[in-house]
Amino acid sequence: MEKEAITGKLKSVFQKVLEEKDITITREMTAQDVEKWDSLRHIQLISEVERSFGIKFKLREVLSMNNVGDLIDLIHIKKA
Amino acid sequence: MGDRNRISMTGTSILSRFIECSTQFPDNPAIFIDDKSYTYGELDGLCSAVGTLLKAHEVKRGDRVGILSEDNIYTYASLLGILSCGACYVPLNYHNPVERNMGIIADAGIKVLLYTEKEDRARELCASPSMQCRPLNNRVSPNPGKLDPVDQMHDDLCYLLFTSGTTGKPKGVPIYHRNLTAFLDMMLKSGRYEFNRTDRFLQMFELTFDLSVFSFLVPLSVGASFYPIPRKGVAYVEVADTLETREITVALMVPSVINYLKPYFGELNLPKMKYSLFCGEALYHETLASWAKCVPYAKIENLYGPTEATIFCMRYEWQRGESPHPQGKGIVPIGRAMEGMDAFKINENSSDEEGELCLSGEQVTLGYWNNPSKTADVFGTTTDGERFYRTGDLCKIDQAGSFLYLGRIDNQVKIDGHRVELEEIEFHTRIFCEDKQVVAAVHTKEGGLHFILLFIETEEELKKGLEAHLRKHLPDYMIPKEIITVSLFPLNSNGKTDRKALINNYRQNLQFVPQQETADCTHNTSPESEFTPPPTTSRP
Repeated sequence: MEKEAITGKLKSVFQKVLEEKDITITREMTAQDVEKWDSLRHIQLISEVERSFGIKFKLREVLSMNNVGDLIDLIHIKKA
Repeated sequence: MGDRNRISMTGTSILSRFIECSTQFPDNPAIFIDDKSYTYGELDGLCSAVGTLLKAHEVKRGDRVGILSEDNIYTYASLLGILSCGACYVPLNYHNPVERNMGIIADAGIKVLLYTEKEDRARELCASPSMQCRPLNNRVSPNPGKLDPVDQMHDDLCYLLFTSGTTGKPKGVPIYHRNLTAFLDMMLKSGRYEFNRTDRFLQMFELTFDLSVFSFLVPLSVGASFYPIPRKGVAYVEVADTLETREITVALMVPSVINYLKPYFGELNLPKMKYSLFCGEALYHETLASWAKCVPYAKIENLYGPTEATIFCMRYEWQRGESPHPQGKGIVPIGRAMEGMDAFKINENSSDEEGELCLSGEQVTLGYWNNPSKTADVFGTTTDGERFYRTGDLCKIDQAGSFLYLGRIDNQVKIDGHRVELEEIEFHTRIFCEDKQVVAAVHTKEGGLHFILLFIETEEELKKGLEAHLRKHLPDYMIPKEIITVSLFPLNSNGKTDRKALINNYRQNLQFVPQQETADCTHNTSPESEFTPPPTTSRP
């Protein structure tokens, strides 16, 4: 799966979980940048990403993600 | 009236404990923060320098000093520096709304507000001409000399924390040295905990949350080190990372953390953990039994206590392999009063099994800050002449004498351990929506994850503006996760809002309703409300 396609699909996951229709996804984006992105939303984001991409993250992978770019790269590897 | 297993206490103040450690082990690590380790000697030098700075700004015994809780060594050095002047620290979370923090500064009568990097925020908070509060940078160079505190008196204020208030305004809970000393004596002199200078404590709490006091002051009392979690990412992820990479040996956590980490239990192995302690909200037996495998050698305890009784004061020691308590509804009991404290229940009818949990003993504060009427409501005196605090928590006592938490007598709920009065959310919502009907409620998902719902009788377009309005007045954890517009509030046979129907409608409208998902608390301000409070225990 191409990273562009991943980003597009990720955007709709973020829109749904964070309830922000106009959200813009960038590689540098972190939880600090979005007011609503707290622990509860994070766990919802992870499970929604897992569900819509049909993948499963390991704890080590969740811990190693520092921003949305890391998430995109990880999905890319898992979908390769 | 419960057991009275008091131990004799001579009392040692927090500062004398810290000074003893820094004298004995100056090269021991005290704190690991900002990717750097600081020794007791280094921390002592900084505490002493903050103390000198504050004295130069005429801070003296009894003064309240504000501190913006930034993620750095100066913040922690300031806490001890403030105490060394005989003053009291008042932590402020700079993420919280400006108006809320300004209200706290005014109510507490804060004289000086310490900051490190958040100068703009500090200046903004001190801007009101009616307040005599000065911002002061705490980025000090370490003093060569050691911390030289003024004498600490039992009746001196130690810290002042603000918690959600039903009237729409946060209420102040002052804790005195007498209370903190009793807490430390209970922790360190009872012989129950074997903490030593090789221990590494987790510090996962905002300083405005009193569980932080355990997580940084207990290690500093025994020569151990502590690890504040970085505030850069998502809290539970940072906690898991810190537990693993820092090989934490003592971890006090809110149960929400393990609720979040549940999907990864199979990958978490923490053999170094000696004490896995929980406090702040209901702890579910089933989740705990799974978590126990991640900490195979740890003692596990469920702790309980409101801010008003200093951090925690009841304990249940959970045993591996034990069955869920037959009367506990899946929740681990809160156990018995700790050494030096007394727990008992009061009820309208002596035959009632259930009653309101009350606490007495040296850890109980004298009353709320600047709020005699609220103090008179919930603080009383026993027939033995002892002051006690009514927690607002419903409990019963099992045959073995262990307390079980059953719910609240009022509308307080817990969100990730934070105490939330639903009235405070409704108060600010009503200002925005004028006369519209408003109901705040808590929805509990499988595994005990709570979130706030807000039902309003208003137009869909107003929702966005309402959230922005609430963010101006309330901290993040009090912001509803969902705002639901209701064209007509269902009424029950008494003509009152039917909250059960509201929640049931909400659940039916959910696209996906997992098994066991329950919405178990609704609330509105009518005194006739029949609500079932969520399974939470009393903490801010």
